[in-house]
Amino acid sequence: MAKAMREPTFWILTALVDQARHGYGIIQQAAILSDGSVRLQAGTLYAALDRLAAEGLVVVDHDETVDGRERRYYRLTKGGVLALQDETERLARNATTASRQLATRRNLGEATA
Amino acid sequence: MSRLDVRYRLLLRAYPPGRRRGELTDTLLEAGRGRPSVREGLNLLRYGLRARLGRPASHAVVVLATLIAVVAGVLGAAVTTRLAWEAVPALPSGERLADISGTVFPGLPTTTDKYTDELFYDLREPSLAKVLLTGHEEDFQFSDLIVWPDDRFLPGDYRQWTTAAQGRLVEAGWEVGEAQVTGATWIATGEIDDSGRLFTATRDGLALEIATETDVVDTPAGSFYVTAEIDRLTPGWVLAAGVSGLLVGALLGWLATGWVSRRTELGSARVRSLTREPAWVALVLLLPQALLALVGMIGQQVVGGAPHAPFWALSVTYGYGCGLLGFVLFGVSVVTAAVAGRGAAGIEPVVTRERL
Repeated sequence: MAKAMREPTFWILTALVDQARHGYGIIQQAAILSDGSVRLQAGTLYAALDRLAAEGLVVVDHDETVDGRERRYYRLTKGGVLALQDETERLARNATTASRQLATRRNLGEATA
Repeated sequence: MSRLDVRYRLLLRAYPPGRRRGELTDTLLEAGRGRPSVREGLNLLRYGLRARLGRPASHAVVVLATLIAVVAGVLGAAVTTRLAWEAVPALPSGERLADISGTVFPGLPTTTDKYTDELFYDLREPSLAKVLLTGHEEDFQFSDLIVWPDDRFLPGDYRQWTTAAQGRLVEAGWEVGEAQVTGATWIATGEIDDSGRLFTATRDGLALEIATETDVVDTPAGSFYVTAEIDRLTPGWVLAAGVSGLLVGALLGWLATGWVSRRTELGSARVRSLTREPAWVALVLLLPQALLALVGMIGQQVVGGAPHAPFWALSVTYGYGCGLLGFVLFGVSVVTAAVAGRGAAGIEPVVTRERL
């Protein structure tokens, strides 16, 4: 069974699903997609990107220079898409199981409350 | 905002030189951050130091760097503590020593035994070459002074003499501890056969340990044997120097591990093996004595009083051979990385540009 992803990793991969993004773009997109619940720290983001790159889940898409500053864009690889799909299915299975258990509890009339 | 706050720029120096610093600068400027919060600062420091190690998917390199940092930290603490001890005032002599002897043994001629003027005492007094080759003998310890009355044995009751000596020392401004009963222990009952007293006193950076005994060979009936040992206490600034050395040594150990790791990260299997295996074997040889030294360093502060031997004594006596071999093996790792690793200019985070 694949190891569960840490939350920052999950949101970084999710933020890169639709297009290549640079560091701050990933931070912004993760915040938007998570309804503001995830605020990635810059140190955490780049450590995760380095690890994901070493694992072949993200690659550099292109570099830009903006106002004399170096900006690098990252995108998902096929492996990254598959890893995110696996994690999404795992989370969905967990949610389904938990929902079923909660429904059972309601059917019991909250007897064990 | 066009320039990053100076605190951010300082924090980014935790990262290895290269474009990652530029990327982080861009990200932080875009985020419009004024100054780093404590959480953000710790985050950059933590992951910057992690980035120094390279091999972002490896947990083993973090474990290795941590253990090497412990060894290097203890080495740093030992070096700075040793250097700081050079500035500690010498053991008393002349009038100062006569004043102490006169307080402990009033009106009695005394003899003072001083083995060496050096900071440390080694029974065989080996040459520097021999020390470098084989280390010190097992009795390596801080030098001290032993004072006793010329007659060696004093007439009277040792309990009364001890109480009187404590009183004289208190009057002379010494901080005097309680006297402990000493003597042989009865195996059957665990009780001590009361045959002597031992107490300590401290003043002006010195510690006195005074022992009376009645079971010394040839002790005349109604008399007792007595000695006063004078040692130096560890000043607070020696401890501060040791703690500073610990932190600086640990940081240098971590950075050196990172340098070796990043230089050999993309090297051949043989180069990686020649840097990794010697380092692990070196840790097997060095880590136990480093941990014991660390426990000794902390223990000396907890127990208090004058240290008998420096906390690194094991590493220059019984552990010397292992330590020497350990550092030679670390040297093999470093030399391999320097000779066979790639140049520092090429060091970048491992980020590939593969095509989908």
